[in-house]
Amino acid sequence: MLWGSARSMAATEVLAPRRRSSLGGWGAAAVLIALILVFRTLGLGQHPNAQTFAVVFTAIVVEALPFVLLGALTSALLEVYVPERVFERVGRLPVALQLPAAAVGGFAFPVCECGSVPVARRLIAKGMHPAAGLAFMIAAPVFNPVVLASTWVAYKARGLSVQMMLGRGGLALLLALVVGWGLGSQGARRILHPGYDESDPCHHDQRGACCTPSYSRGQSFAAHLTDDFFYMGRFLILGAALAATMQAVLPQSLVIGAASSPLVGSLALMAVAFVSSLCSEADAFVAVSFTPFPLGSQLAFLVFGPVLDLKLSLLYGAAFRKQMLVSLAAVVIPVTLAGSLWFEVLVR
Amino acid sequence: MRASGPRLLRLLLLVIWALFFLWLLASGEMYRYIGPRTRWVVPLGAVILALSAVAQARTLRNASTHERLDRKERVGLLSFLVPIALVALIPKPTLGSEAAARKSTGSLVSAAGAFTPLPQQTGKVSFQEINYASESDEYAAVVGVAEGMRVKLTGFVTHPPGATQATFALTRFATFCCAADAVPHSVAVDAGDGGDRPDDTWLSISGVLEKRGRTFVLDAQHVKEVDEPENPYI
Repeated sequence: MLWGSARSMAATEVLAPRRRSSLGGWGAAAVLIALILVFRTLGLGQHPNAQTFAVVFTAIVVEALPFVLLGALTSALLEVYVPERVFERVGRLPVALQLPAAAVGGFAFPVCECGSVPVARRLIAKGMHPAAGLAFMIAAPVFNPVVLASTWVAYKARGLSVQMMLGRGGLALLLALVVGWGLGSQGARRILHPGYDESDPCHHDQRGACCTPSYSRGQSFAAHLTDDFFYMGRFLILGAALAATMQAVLPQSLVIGAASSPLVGSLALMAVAFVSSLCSEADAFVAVSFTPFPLGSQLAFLVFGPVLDLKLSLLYGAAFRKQMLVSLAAVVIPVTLAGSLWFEVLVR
Repeated sequence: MRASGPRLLRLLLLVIWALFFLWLLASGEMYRYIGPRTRWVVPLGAVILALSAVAQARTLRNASTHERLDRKERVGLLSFLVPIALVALIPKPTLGSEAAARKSTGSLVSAAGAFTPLPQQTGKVSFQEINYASESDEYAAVVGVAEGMRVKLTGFVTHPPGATQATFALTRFATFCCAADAVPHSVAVDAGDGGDRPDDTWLSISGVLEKRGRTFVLDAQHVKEVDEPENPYI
């Protein structure tokens, strides 16, 4: 349902251009200022839930938006400054080589999940095998030095650093390979969101960028950069709002009853990971606080969150087709679950 | 010269966001939202947003004037004003006792047994150390948390269920990346008869640690009401 709404938002037909009177703009500003004054005089924002929402929402946006911008920057660099023949050459390599290389590629190129989506989208559009692009997107947020190190530190005091770090890195890598192999055979056109036309470098013309032939490289770079940033950023803002609502409303004690069984525990913590939309660099410190849960369930939280959560499903919806998202969930949920149960057996 | 509306709007938004990040940095408001490990994100964000604004400004020169924003695009761009409007609507929000109750998993000691190794500063223990010491005697010995130890803690008042041996709990959130991953840590406080305080009161308490059952309880000797610190987290 969520993906549906994300996609329908992204895919809404382009409406006929409409002239906007400057009067309307000033009117909206006046209404906003009046709203702020009323809100602050009445103290409407003092309610604890409103306070929690405000803290968490702003925190996620401020934390993640620079990474979306860095992702857009990398993506624009790839688009404008890397010659087409590089992608052609890479694209001709056998998939069996591209796929694992892309999966471990994140190790040299650490981006968080918010940055990896626009980069993967661009790589696929430029001719990298979709399997490799997807594998990069799934692996990079977990299989990178920063995130593995933070997992190490978080579990050090419990003497489980090695197990958790290897378990997390290994399962994430496996997931990336399975997703790439399973979903990447469909071809770029069937995966990428139709708003994004890979054959035409000026794919953004309905938004008015890049299509001016007189553009210099620098200007074209800037146009692509802001295009990607403003396109992905709105989904991040929406995702942060949903995640903050969940954090402001749902008590964590809801899931505590699920802690006794590894299977239900894993499902419960995957649900927590989905709604809370944490950054992959920080989630290990939260996972370690779920002590009543089996270790396998904590691992499920750590592997699932960076691949699929509220903010990510909106970002994916902006970059990929709805079908791709459904298949992604259909692969990621059982593989994570099975992996976490196997891990539970191994460490016990 | 007529500048293109869509480009100008994007430029304006980038400038507003760069200024917002600068304000977070300069006012110290970033402590409210961003944890110690990723505080570098704020200056980095300010710089790359400003650079993007400069790059965007350079595209204004030879933009065609017939560019228009369709409605969907306009809504998308204006959504970038929502986070900033929210900071204006709800200034200085905090995670309080209500959030602590929601984020804890039920017991008085919220993050039981899960401890991150901390710098070994003798004589300076905080919420996590006391929490973890209640869970593990071994940890208590290593860090040096013991009965009779004098400590001073600053936090806000909460009343977790099951805190029967104490008047209230003093709580502080620990954050790592940002406030979304905040985990509450509480220490039970015995403030004597009539020493109870309402939820969310910020207090600075010095006293002596006592072990009651498995739990360390802070026997309060000096209780002082304080303002919320600039960095509300640990």
